[in-house]
Amino acid sequence: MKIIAVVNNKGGVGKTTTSRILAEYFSIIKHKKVLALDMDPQANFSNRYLKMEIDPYQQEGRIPPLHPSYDPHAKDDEDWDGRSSIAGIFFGEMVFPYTTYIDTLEISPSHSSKLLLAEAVTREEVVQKVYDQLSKFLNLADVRSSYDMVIIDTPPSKGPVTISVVRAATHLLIPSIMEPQPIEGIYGMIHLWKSETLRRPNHDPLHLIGVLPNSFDRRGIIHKDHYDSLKHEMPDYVLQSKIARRLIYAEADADGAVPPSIFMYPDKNLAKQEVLLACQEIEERMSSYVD
Amino acid sequence: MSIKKRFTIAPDLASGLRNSIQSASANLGQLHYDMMSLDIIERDPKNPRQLQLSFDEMLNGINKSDSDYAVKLKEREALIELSESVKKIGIKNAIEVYKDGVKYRIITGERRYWAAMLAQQKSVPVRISQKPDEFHLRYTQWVENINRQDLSLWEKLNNLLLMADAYMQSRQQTLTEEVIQKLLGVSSIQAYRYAALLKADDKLVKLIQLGKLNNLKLVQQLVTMKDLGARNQMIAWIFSSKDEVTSLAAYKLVAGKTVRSALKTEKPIQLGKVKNQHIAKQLIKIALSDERLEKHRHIFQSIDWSSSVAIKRAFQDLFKKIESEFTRDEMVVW
Repeated sequence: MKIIAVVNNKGGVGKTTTSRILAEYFSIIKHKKVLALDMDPQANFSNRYLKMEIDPYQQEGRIPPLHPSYDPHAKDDEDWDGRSSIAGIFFGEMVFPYTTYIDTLEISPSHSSKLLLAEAVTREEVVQKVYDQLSKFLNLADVRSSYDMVIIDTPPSKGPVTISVVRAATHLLIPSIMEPQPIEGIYGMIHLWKSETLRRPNHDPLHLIGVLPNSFDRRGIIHKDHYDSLKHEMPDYVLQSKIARRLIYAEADADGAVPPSIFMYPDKNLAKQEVLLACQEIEERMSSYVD
Repeated sequence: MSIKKRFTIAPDLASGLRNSIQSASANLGQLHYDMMSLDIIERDPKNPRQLQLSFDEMLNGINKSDSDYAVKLKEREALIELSESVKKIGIKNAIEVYKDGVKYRIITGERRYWAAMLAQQKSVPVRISQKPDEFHLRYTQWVENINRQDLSLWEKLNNLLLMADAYMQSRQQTLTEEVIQKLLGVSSIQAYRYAALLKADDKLVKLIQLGKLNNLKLVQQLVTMKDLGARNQMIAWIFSSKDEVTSLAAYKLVAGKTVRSALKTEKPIQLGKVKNQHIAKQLIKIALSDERLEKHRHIFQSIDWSSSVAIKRAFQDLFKKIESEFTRDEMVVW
């Protein structure tokens, strides 16, 4: 089972868009059994596949909808409130992924207040537990036998939740806009990758897929210059493919967008073509690492 | 005049990225720390720092009739002291281990491991390494141990022998003086002595094991001694001595021989004149055949043998080299 973490501690660099693209590529195009995990309290990734709800009694953000298999009258479900999120792993709860409109894609959504709580822990022993929680969950035999791929969207931070994702991942992908501030975010993530690489046993390395240039604008020179300069500093870890700045990505992201996935657009669509190329490059880079 | 604006990553950020990536790829898995249960850790039976103490003696005390009572008592007290600090603050420096079969074997930190046992700790911090190759393992232990004052010559000899064996196995070469000097970071004379230690025969090894010979220089003198009769007499004398022997001067006194200094006088001596420069050439050649002067041979390669001044200067150089390379004890005694 391969576990791709999509990380960058700067917000708005395309983590959620990239997570979506990967989840849909591997499930729709490659017919893999994919589990999507939304570790970002903003819950945008979840919202693409589920109708997330607002709980008026909770100040922070969104909660998952009632689970389709939940039966309030069933004996088994007596101790369950009918909602399940990946944040549950930090609170000793069972995790029940939700099915989506794509046959081979399931998602365990975000839960804003719970994730914020996990992100805010500071006591050393609790922090250590948070760090290891996701990798414990993904090591469960049930989980390993049910999925080929896990795609994880992360919060724009370097806090305990992001670290738990990095610890659980087999591959790391860093989407970034080619501008000064997001590139600082790349540095933060490279550093996280380095510490994790030094910490891990040799037989279980964390592979860095690289930096995926996002929202790339060919009209000015700023993106190209920063791309060249980044490529110069870390030649092995900057992807050749670029996701261009296009309105279509925002349109595909809107509620009730038709078709719901970029991969369902006609083949001659430019956005679909560039996304396919990027996904293929990511896949190639992943297979170049021999486990 | 207008200059076209170019954008680039700030230099500090650029070097940060470059360095982090290099460090990560060069040091994969180097900092793999964990807490490990004591019962899956085992000692390295070949560790040169051999405690005389058995595990049972450490826990339950030492029998007073034991012939090594004093040594063991000292070891036990030191371990108890360490374990007291472990009880208070735990083990701060991780013990380095590698996976060997079902257990993890200690590379460094054996005393910490014993102290943790005494302090009844359940688990200790460990740094998990790859199984080192034999030579590297022995080398690491040497470096770890050599700074300990109380490491005996016997322990050093064993470590050195293991290192030499492993060096032979992995590199198909004997552990020469030059290699010893480079690896251990010792002076050329120390390296010369360690190389001599490796050549010690069974009798000398026995004396070292018994603790009667604990002085590296003395061992080297005995190993390199040309006069075998005198050497055997000395060895017999050391065998018969009760305590450790630290100097051969004592033997010479006991045996009724006066201790002869290699240089009888500190006054300068005129070495005379020769007409035939070939004799000078021969003399230098003979002197340079001594292995202790080997590393200086290149200095004498470009002498102008037709110039008496150059030859005189060469001899002055030669005398200086002999003075610096040969300690007085090593000077040939006629």
